[in-house]
Amino acid sequence: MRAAGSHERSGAPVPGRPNDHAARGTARAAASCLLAVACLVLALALGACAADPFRTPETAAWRSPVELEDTPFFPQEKYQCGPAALATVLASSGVDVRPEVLTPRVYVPERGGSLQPEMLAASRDFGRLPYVIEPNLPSLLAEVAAGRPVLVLQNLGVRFAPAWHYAVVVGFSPETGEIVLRSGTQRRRVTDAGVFLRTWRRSDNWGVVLLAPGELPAVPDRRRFLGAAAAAESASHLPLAEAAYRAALERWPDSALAALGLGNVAYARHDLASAERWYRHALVLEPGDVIVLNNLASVLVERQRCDEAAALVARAATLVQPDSPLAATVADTRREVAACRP
Amino acid sequence: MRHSRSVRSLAVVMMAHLVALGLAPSAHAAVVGTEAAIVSHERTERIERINSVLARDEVRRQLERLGVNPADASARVAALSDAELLALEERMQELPAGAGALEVLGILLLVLLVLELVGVTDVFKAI
Repeated sequence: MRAAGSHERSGAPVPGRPNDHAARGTARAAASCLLAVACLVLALALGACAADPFRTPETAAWRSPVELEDTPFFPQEKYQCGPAALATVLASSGVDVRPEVLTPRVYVPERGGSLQPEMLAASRDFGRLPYVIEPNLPSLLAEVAAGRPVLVLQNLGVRFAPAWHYAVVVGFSPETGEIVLRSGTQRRRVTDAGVFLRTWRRSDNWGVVLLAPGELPAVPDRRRFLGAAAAAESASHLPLAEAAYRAALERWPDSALAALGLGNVAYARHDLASAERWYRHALVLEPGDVIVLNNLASVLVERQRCDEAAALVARAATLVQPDSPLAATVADTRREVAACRP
Repeated sequence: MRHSRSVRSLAVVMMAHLVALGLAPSAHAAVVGTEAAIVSHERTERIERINSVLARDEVRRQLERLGVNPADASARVAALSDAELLALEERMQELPAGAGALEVLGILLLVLLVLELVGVTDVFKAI
């Protein structure tokens, strides 16, 4: 087994050793015994030697090393790997902000760290769309190769003694089987890919890239991208949401959800004419969609087009599942329609 | 009224990066937001209508209890999408808090050292 582990360019303290001979001898004996037992347990736990992560069919295409050397570095303060890592990916996407500015937005004192949903929310506040990449190595490599560092959550410990840590992947080397990260107080933390994957797997391979408005990720997954746009819409970041939905519609012209999103953004801006136009577009793509029918009916009521609204909501009512919460919304829309006066 | 079982399932669904129902309350019209549409289309779980105003208030209070100052807590909950809000509401105590610090009892240190040497963990810098 090759000696796995991480090393860094600058020096770091090594755990101290006992001073006197006898103690050293005993400690060494105890350590070897423990090591033997641990190795046995681990051999059973780990199973057969893991294949080289860079030699799988999905990653074999990556042959050359990549390193985003210009990625800024913010050494973390005590428990502030969240702010430091987030500042790193924001800065590399063109948003200059220091970790101290991010701390009040993501750090949770009693938990001693930062939570994933808040990391996502904070990115949007700086005009970037957080996209959670597909949870696998090829997607991670694709983003880095496309010039985007990836914010990752690792558990550097084990399940019963976790050491959750945010870091930023800035490079990889297929030949030496290594991943390069901005991590903690290390500008370049070079980690064996197998070790990295083990630490990453424990967070279910959570990785995030920040996209400029209208930008698509290296491997655009329709559902994920629309989810990211919808989150922006839900958090009232309308320009970000709109740019994302437009990009989605261009990439996937048959996406009723993208058209619905544009309608919802227009509605949120009280632009009823555009909302109506987009909902109609969505309806052409998905004529039987209850939500589109509902939303279009709703807007038409506000525009005093009562008859057409009535027809649409009636259709929605026949299509909606009775036990779905949409049924309640459709019922509300029906009431609005009933009160509609042209 | 929320049923905790289905809301918990919903939180699990969201932690798998799907989005949850968050019907945006609107004074003017019953318009369904796109996050809600995504969940509805997927029909993955029995979903419940949540009152996002109440949920936001609850998460804000949770953050304050965990040491976030009130002004920051308000701003932070306002920044969350409905799906993120629900994820936090259910799991604020359990979600991993990325810290970069080792949370371990002293007696486990030697075991961890061994695990580090064989590459299971990656905590220490110079090994």
